[in-house]
Amino acid sequence: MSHILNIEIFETEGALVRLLGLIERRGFTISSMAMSAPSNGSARVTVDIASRGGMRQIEVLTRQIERLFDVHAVSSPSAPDPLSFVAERAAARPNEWRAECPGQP
Amino acid sequence: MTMLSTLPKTETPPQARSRNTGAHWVVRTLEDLGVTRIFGYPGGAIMPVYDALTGSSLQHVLVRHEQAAAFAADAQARMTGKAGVCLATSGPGATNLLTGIANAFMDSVPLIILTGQVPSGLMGTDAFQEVDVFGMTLPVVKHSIIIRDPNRIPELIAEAFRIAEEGRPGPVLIDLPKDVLQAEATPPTPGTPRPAAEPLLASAPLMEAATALLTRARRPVLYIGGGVGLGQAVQPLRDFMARTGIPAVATLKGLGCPHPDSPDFLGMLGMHGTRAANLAVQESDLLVCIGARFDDRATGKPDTFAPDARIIHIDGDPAEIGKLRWADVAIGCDIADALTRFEPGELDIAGWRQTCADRVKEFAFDYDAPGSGVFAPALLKQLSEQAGDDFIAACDVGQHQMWVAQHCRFARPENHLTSAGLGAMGYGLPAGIGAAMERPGMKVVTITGDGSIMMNIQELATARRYGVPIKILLLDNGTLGLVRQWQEYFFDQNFSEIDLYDNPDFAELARAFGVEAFTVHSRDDVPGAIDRLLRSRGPILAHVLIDPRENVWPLVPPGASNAEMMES
Repeated sequence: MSHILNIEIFETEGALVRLLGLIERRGFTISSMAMSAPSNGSARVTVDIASRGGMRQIEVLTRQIERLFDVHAVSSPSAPDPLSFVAERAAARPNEWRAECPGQP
Repeated sequence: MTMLSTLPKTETPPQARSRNTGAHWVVRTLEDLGVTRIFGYPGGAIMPVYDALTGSSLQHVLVRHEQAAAFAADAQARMTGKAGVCLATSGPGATNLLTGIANAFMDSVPLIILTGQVPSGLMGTDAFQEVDVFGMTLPVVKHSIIIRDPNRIPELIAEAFRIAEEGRPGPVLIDLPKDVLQAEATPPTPGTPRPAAEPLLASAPLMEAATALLTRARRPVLYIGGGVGLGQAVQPLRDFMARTGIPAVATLKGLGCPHPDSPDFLGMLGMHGTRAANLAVQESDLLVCIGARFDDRATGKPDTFAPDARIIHIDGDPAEIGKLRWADVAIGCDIADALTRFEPGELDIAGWRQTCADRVKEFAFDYDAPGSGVFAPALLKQLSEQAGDDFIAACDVGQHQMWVAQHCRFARPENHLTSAGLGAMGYGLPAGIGAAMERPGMKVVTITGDGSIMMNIQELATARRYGVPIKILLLDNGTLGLVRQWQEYFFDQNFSEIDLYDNPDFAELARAFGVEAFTVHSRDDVPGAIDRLLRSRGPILAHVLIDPRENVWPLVPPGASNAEMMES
């Protein structure tokens, strides 16, 4: 399943590559990407992404993107407000794993 | 051969050089931010900063490899909670820092990395000693900056410190092109600093939901990670444990957060965890994860980890919540605040507490090993008990690291310096140097192996140069022990490339560096060796010979549940 994320980044050196690198590294593929011309020190990046293997959660990725200091807002028409995850009691789903974690030496 | 004295003097005399360059603003800003010590190694592109260091109040510690600068600064930061600072030149200087930066990132350590860079006009031209350190480090920094304008140096360095230290700490890299360092600068008077980020407080409905789960639980367990120490929540955690009596387990980085003598502390969980800890987690009906992240070393086979447990996950970094395990109640907030306000009242867990406490006794480690050779677990236990609350361990990586986690007692989390997330061999010696320089009155012991110490053995010269009161306990089994253990049990005893039969005589080697050293051959020598180590005022190395067949137990095999622990 693909998701669209709108990300407002500051117009700082490395902001775009830092953002795109994080998305790929955290297990998502980018199928399309557009960036607006910078205005007033910031730019909007829109990406269409999908979890590689379908195991990673868009909500978690959204919070990981929000941690970046080059980013000042993330929104998604296809996902709930990311902070709502910590503002509400989540439905109980005992022992549900989010990602594959193969045993490693 | 050219004699040094006949070399032409091309540098400007110090008195003729400006004291207002970008490099001087780097040094002045560090001083203004309260930095007193930096670890580094000079080279071409960073030379303006080294020039500006003369006459500064900063103590520069000259290491012998840049990786050690990052590790030593990392250890200092773990001790103080304030960002450590390391410094290197461009190119190889910067790449040598990389492992240290990754180490700080994985363990959430506030670290400022200053790298020289080729002049701006040469960047991107494959100039001499040019690497794109900004690009190379993107995945392992909390943030990074290339300073292009010398007038912004004070502002950007101050911002880097704030970023490194606030919230979940991490490394921040500052790349400094040489022309920026050499340019005249007149930075504006600093404005009002950005206010510190407000702590995120747990909402009342979430605390109520967590309380409701806890009240219903009959087999709750606290799963404590490094976030508790980072969140200044050690005392709130200990108070919470005291008023609720909930049994607790800790990750490698969580050790020292629960009081080590608490009757409800069951030890470390995971691959080399205690049986009492792993069984408690496996049987729990509610796991309260506090500042931990369901790391694979802690969980074993993930879908068998705490299979019947519901999860309350409290973490200062909301991005950790739900990453690997669904949380029934997810509280992304200031951990100290949550633990202080968490008042579940009387819990119906007396039987469960007793079961856990009984297991601690039943599965206590056995220190009666056969033979007359040194038994490392017993030595480490004795050492840490004798050193008491002042004991600080700077571990390397391997079997000795796990023995330290299992058998040493830590009064505080910052007393246990270990490369937890990255598992970087070579951490122990420079980390011990950083810690001992910061806390000379405490008993800082680098605990290392014959494999690990060779990764940064050159730092014996640093220890000697500064008279660092570091005690080095080198457990020498003549092999890469943890790899050997895995090959023995999981690779059909195909012992591939683990034999270090041709190690140097480490005591002789230490003496060649000017460091006092002695060798321990038998168990009878252990008490005297510990006394000598702990009494020493300068650097000292105890070279301890141990049996290569001695392994780390228990062990959760790959692909197994934490309930399926192997024993010797």
